[in-house]
Amino acid sequence: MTREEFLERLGDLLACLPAEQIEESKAFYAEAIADRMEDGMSEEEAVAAIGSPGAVAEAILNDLPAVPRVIAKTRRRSNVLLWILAIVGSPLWFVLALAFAAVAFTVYLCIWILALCVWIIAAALGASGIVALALATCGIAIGNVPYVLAMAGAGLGLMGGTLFVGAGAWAVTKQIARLSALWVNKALSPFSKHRGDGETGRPNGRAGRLPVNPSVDGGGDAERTAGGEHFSAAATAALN
Amino acid sequence: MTNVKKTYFSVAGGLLALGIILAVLGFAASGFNPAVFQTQIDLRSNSINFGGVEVDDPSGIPFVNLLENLGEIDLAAPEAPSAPRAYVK
Repeated sequence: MTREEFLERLGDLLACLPAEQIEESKAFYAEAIADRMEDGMSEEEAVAAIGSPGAVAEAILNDLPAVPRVIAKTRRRSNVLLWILAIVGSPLWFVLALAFAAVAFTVYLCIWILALCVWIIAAALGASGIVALALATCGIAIGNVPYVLAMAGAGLGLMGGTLFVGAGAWAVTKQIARLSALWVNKALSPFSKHRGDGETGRPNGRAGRLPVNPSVDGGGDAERTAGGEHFSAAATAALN
Repeated sequence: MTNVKKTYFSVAGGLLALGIILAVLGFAASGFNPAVFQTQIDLRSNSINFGGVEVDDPSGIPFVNLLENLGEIDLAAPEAPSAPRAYVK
């Protein structure tokens, strides 16, 4: 099979995906084949090393997040079936989607309320410190020295505590910002794929790797940069 | 840890330590009377107590005289206006 035939067949099999995604996938595999040809393989060998278009298309579809995958696979069977299922199932999926959105938003809100609570504690300590210092000035006015000392001590101690709690609140806020970003990614994972780690423009955000091999998917940076040999091995392993 | 952080925590620790020392000194100066940490300002009954010491005239005390100047706020509902008189020919 030539490269053009491979890409044409792949495009046909991925017709259920948006045109932009099809072009992205075709460009990626065209480049992968070209890389192999540059390494000395013939066109047929390079195409064979990638695998059959059917297996590659299946791998690309399986690599999609849950919701787009179901939509794409249903659309591949029939566009009419997709619309029928969407309309008939709307009382169910709409309510489920609404509940999911409500839960996701509530968890997100709770995460930030946790950070707000720490800041409220810091603000309350600071306000108490200011009031204690104001009371110390009242003590000066009436000439009650022990009260002045006690209130000034309480005020300064509370201000010091405010600074410590403020530092803690800042650290907690940073962690919570990270946690909330993770939560947003997790909540959106059934609908879209995070593209942050896709250095080489691999379809669906995977840098230079085939989507179907779990051992490759779980790999680290060394695997990501291992080059054409690794890709070829991954492709062979994935399609066997 | 950066210098800014070090300074920040030094100031916080210093304030906390100084506060504890002053509070202990005040407590000791009062004869270990826990009432030294108490404050009571009740302008309705005109009773003001700072650390166990009653204050008779709050006018000279900063902040408290501001509260006194506010006076008492009447939260009672306003009286309803009287009903209009019927017109009789």
